[in-house]
Amino acid sequence: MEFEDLKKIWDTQNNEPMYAINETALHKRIHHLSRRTGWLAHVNEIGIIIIALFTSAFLLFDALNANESPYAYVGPVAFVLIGLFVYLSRHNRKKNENSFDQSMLGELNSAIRNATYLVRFARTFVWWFLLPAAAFCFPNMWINNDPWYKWLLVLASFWLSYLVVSWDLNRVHLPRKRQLEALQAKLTEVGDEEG
Amino acid sequence: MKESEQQHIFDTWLGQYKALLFKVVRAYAFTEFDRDDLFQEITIQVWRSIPAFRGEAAVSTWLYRVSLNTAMRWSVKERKHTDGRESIDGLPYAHGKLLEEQAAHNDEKLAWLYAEIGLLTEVDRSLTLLLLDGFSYKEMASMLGLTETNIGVRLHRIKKHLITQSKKYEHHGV
Repeated sequence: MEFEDLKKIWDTQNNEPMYAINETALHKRIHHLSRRTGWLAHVNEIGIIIIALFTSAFLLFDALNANESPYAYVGPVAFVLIGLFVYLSRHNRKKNENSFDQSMLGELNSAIRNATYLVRFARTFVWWFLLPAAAFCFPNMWINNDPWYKWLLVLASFWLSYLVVSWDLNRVHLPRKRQLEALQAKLTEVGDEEG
Repeated sequence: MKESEQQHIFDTWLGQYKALLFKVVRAYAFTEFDRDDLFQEITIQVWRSIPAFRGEAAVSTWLYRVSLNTAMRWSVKERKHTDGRESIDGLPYAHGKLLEEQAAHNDEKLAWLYAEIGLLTEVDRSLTLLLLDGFSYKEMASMLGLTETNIGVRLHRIKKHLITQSKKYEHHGV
């Protein structure tokens, strides 16, 4: 067969649809999935914002009740700033999400940039969140001779935030980044073969 | 964009271009379950792409770009789900089966052609579909973001391969 014959075989399917669509099921699935994926995809950013605000509120409540020195208010402010930093990073990322060259390679490159941002965000989490927070919290709690349950609460919130970010990094962002890079390599490998 | 407007465009596109989506599904998914799963992924991406569609490209070009991109990503991702056939979203047939194969499509030569396309790499499958549906090198280059020369080199090899395979197929008297 020549290529034109293959094309004739191909064109035979244009007369009758290959499948019948269950449109009711399709609409249900689309509405269900398009509403829930946004949350799942970026659980780390939203999780950190919530944790930062919760910790800030907890420290502020503690400082107000205990009538402590002005230094005690540095912590709540620091956590709000961390929450704000994450919110602004997320906002910028989402703003740039749809501005890409509308070819498949352009879309892939944009998705890889986005995935790289999320991987870097999760990998540097200890440096921009946990260490500054710990640098404030633990000396302050030590000076105030805080009870054990406060230590436990703060440690638990640190541990929880680390777990959320690590889970998201290893289960979502790293595999996704690798898949995208593998696809990008396949798409661009033509150039190598050509040379 | 209002959801009702998005829904209207989606229904129109699905009505007019479902054959295009079916071709992509059949070229990338080989079991009934996978075809359903991939068709779902593609339709969700098409739904999400509607607000970004500015009419600069033909609808068929847009839909091919969205559906091939989705199929290639799905194909790479699906290698991890080798058995068990649990849907990646945990919703296997939760709202009912999506696709029902039509009896009229049991053409043996067409099935052979799809089987051959299915043996190609993910990127080559995309190019083959576009070539068979009459897209020019220029259109393919723009759709994939590659140069026309790159497309030409790859298509030359694909054509040669498919012609060789077709001769073997004919030789065996099928």
